[in-house]
Amino acid sequence: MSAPAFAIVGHPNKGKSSLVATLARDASVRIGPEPGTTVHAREFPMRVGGKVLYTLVDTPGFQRARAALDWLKAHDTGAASRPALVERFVREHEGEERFRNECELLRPVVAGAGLIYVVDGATPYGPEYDAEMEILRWTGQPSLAVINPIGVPRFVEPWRLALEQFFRVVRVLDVQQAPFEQQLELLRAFGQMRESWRRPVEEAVAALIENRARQDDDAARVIAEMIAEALTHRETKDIAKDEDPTRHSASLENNYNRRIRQFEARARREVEAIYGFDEVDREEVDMTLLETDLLSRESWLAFGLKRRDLVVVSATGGAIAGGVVDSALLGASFLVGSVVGGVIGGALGYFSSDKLADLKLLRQPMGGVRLRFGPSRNVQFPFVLLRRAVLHHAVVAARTHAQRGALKVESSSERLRLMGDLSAGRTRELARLFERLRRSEPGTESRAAALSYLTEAISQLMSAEAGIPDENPEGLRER
Amino acid sequence: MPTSVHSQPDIADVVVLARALERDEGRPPGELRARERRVAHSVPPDGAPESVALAWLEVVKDEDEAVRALHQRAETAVHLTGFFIVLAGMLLGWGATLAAFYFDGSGRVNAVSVLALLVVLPGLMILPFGLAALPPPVMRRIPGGGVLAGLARVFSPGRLAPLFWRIFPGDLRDALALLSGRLGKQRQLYAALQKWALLRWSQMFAVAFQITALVACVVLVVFTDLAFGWSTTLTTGDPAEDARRAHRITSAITAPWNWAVEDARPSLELIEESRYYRAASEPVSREQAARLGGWWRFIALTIAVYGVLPRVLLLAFARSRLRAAARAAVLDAPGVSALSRRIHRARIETHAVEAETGAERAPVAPDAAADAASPAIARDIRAVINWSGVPVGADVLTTAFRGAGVFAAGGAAAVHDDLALARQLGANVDGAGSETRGDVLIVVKGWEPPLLEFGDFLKTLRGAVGRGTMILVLPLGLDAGVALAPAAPAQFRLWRDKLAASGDPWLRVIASHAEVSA
Repeated sequence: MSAPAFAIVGHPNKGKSSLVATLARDASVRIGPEPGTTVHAREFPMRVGGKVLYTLVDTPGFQRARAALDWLKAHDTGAASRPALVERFVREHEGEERFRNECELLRPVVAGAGLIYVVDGATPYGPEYDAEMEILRWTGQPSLAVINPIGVPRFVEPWRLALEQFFRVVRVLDVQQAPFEQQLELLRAFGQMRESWRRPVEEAVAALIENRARQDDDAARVIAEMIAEALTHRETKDIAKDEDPTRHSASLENNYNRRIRQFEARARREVEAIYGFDEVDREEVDMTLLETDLLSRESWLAFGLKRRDLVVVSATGGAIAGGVVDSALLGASFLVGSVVGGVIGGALGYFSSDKLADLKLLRQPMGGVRLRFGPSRNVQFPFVLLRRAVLHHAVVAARTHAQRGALKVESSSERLRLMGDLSAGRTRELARLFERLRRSEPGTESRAAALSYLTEAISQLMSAEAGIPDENPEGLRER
Repeated sequence: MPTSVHSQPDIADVVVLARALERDEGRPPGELRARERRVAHSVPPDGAPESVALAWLEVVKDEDEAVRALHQRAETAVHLTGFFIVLAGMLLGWGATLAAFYFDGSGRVNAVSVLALLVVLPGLMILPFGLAALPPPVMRRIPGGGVLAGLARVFSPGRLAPLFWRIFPGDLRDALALLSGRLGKQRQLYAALQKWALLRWSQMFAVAFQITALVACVVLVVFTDLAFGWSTTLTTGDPAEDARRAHRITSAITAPWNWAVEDARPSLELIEESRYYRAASEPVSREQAARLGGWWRFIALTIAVYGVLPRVLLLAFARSRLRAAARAAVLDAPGVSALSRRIHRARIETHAVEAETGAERAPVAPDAAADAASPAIARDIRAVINWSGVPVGADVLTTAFRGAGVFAAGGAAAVHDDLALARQLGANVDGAGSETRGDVLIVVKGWEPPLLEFGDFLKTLRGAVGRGTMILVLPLGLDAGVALAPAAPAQFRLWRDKLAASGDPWLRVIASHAEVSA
């Protein structure tokens, strides 16, 4: 059995393409205030694992409905033959400029598609709609009407009264703002139009729910990775031992800030891509760093040695040399050789590290001073990153693909504060995870485990932000 | 399509995955998406990222000859490295055993030397392994730990691997660039993988050494006549006490198998009899040699339990760590996380199959000057048409446009009625048959877009009234019933721009009825 198709039809500029964009999650659908933005019927098959479960068909709006109805009435031979008559209308006027729109929108219907008639609940019903609805009735296909208020929904009830005369099911849905659950409800209603359509549509709805859960998990993972990266990021610069470090502090700070913003921006783009918004513009205030005194300095030596390492290695070497003397004396020295050798070696290591730094091998210094900016130790830093990211996620997840214009993320401190206070248990848990991430190295299991836990914690936070009850408000599930 | 989806990456997978992801950076997004869709159908919906990445790699290998060849080279290089390492361990094990069991019939094989060379010394090498195996955070806390771990790795037999790579063909060496640390920018990411690859090879070497030593020991015992003995400088002065001490030591050593193989513990008598002094070496009689051979079970089991067994366990441990490191490396490799997400997303497709056709129209640009109502033009309006049932009473229109006839068209009216009205207006007569002159004004719903059927009507009307007669279109707002409220500026612009496309110089869209009211 072939998958059901649903033709989205109606008057021009009533949100047909918006409905398709929202349900098909396709931000590339052209939506505009000018009539005739959609000029051809366009199919949006919903596939799960390659299997088509249903197809949405976006169609151009009626342009000459009264003339088309006149033709149908002129050739009418009775109610039973009306669907065939509509088919004949399409066949006879195919390729004709005059009824191009009507043929485009009726072609999928005569091929068996269910009818989804879209009207604007913010503008009043008028007699010009009667002809459209009459033609659709003549097709004999299962139908459903959607009242889509493009603005203040002043005329929903008059519309309902008018539509109920032509359609068995009438739904009200603001397709620009419709939450995910309402979109699913509408899809389910599509499936209920005909018994044989119910199963594939239910299957599709289940897949969409599963996909949504995965999107949320993926977004949480992206946010966790971003936080981990930001928490461990540092800018370093090796300078000569006697060079003034203050000359480099500003550039290090700038680089550090830029990188943190890059991490955030990259994560934002990824989260947007996860929800299918690949090219959306974003309006968000840049993060301001919570601390500026992150500059530190340490000596460095070639081969990754630190002064401490050099002391240990020299002391060990000295002790071994002293041990040889002890052995030669057959233990009569009572390990004095090892002790003295160790002390002398350690002292030599300690005092020679500075000298080593002054040496140059192949014109490369063997040591110097390493300036380091970051990582941030501020306990609030990861929480601010997290809250900003969760807020951005909430805006992205709530956005439909019919919305145009920039994504506005109002991440003011007040808005962040209003996101909801974390419980003490969760705050502690998160702080512990952040500390684990700070200490972990990339490519290690410890980091992978910490990232997993953080991902789970973020998922729970995102559910809370979306209004889904948290099953474990006091902290993460124990493992 | 991949024939099987496995979830445990090996070294070759990690190497090739990193390279394949790099190669994809320059490919067109459409091509990548098509491939991800194909992969999406072959991975389970709840597949972990590493499984997804490996499934993706299988598809890439199927499609890309270069990636497939690289994978084969990497696998070959890894297997060849293991082979050479094992071979080196076997050769050293065989050589060491021959040296330890050297017996020319004039003396005895010193059991202590055998065990020192084949068990104790190799056993000491576990220490650097343990040091190198410590997790980096622990190592950092030990002063000089990094240096010691580095030294431990330098002395690890796994270091033989890079030596063998020197004799490998260039393409095999290149396949191992990631492991040899030549990919500097990814050194940190693959550090754990490199470490555990090295340590696993070390344990493979050690296992090969110990098993060969054990086998060689058994072979020598079976095919040659060995007389074992023991000797020491650290003596109590009492040979009987020395023997008892040695017996206590051998009893402790044999504790793990005493319960099962009692013969494998040297008896006190055997220990007493097998002690020898180099300074006073005596030839061994045939009967004595046969008795002294009784040590062999003890020696073989000591090698097996204290040499082979720990190394096998350590090899298993290093192998499991390497697998974990490979998995972590895959998970952390740049692009894998995003790849997994894209593939899972590709399982569900809802987008249009074909791109939107037709040129995209530019949005109606705000034009403040044009939006402003034009100065009033005193026109003689002879007819006002309410198009498509604008909710405004005829009396309101009559009051606003005095002397003009009010008509209805569009909406509920039939198309032929519209034509009749056009003809009537073209005849310049009013409803009562009186002759009329002047312009025609059509009020329309500003909130509805201008349709083609309205364009048809305008054409018909123009044909009927002829050139020179002004046709004015007044879009009204939602509250039209109240003093002919004008349409919103955006709606007005839409109507103005749409009708401007007709090219009729006597057609004008007006923003307000005040523009034409007397």
